[in-house]
Amino acid sequence: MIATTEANERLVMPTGGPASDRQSWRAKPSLPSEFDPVLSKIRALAESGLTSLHVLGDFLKCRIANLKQRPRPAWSFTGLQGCSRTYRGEGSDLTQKGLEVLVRAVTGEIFIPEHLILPQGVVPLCEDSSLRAAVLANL
Amino acid sequence: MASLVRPRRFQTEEELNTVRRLLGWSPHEAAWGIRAGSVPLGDLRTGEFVLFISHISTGLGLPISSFFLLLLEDFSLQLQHLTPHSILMTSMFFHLCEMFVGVRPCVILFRHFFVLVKSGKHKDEVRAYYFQTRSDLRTPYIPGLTGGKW
Repeated sequence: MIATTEANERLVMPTGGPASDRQSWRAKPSLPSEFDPVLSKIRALAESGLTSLHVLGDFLKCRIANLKQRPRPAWSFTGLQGCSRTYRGEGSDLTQKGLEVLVRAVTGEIFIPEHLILPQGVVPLCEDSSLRAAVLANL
Repeated sequence: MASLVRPRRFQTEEELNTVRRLLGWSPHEAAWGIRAGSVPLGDLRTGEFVLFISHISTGLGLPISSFFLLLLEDFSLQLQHLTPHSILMTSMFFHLCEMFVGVRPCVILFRHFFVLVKSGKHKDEVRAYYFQTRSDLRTPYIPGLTGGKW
């Protein structure tokens, strides 16, 4: 289908490959030291067992479109009425069946509900205001 | 050789309303935002672009996030260059940053973890491009989905 949004040259249909050269695709940026706590946090999450499937399950359950311009970050997600949700209000929560359909459609993989249960100790920041305050203060 | 399945197009108003609901719109709220497309695509007006359902189901919404547009810009990519799986990877990276790490995602951090790779071998095709987790990471990234390069 055809969608309308603010004009941007990145959305024009390509007639060839990207203009950048292949070497630049692999070039590793040098991260400033300010990123050290971020990398440590990602390491800790990976070591605690968090997987991409957990992250996918969480954003599908929250019903937020991550790649949509939003007024607020995901950590300030406020539940059923949140302005970041694509579906809002009473009855907009995903059922287990709905979640299964979405996960299977997006990943093409067999749905195993247990694989979406977050590892012990890993909590989405929107669900724990004191943890959120502590994390945001340290980053 | 088996023929390819013809791509499914959303043509009726009812089908377009389904897409509007997926985007979180009511039919009256933003009826101007999407319309049925046809080939050839020579009639696209300013601001119009081709949107696939797979884009929406992997987390793309309108207006598109500035982070994602900056990422495309950084690699000189057009949206349609990227495989749906790569859009999903970007979407999960975004959610990981905001919901579990507590930072706004940025291009430099994305590029720390991912590289861009070209699929296919024929020189005369536009081809698809996908993101792949770097193999030489000192800081591990969370394990990906087992799905391939789609």
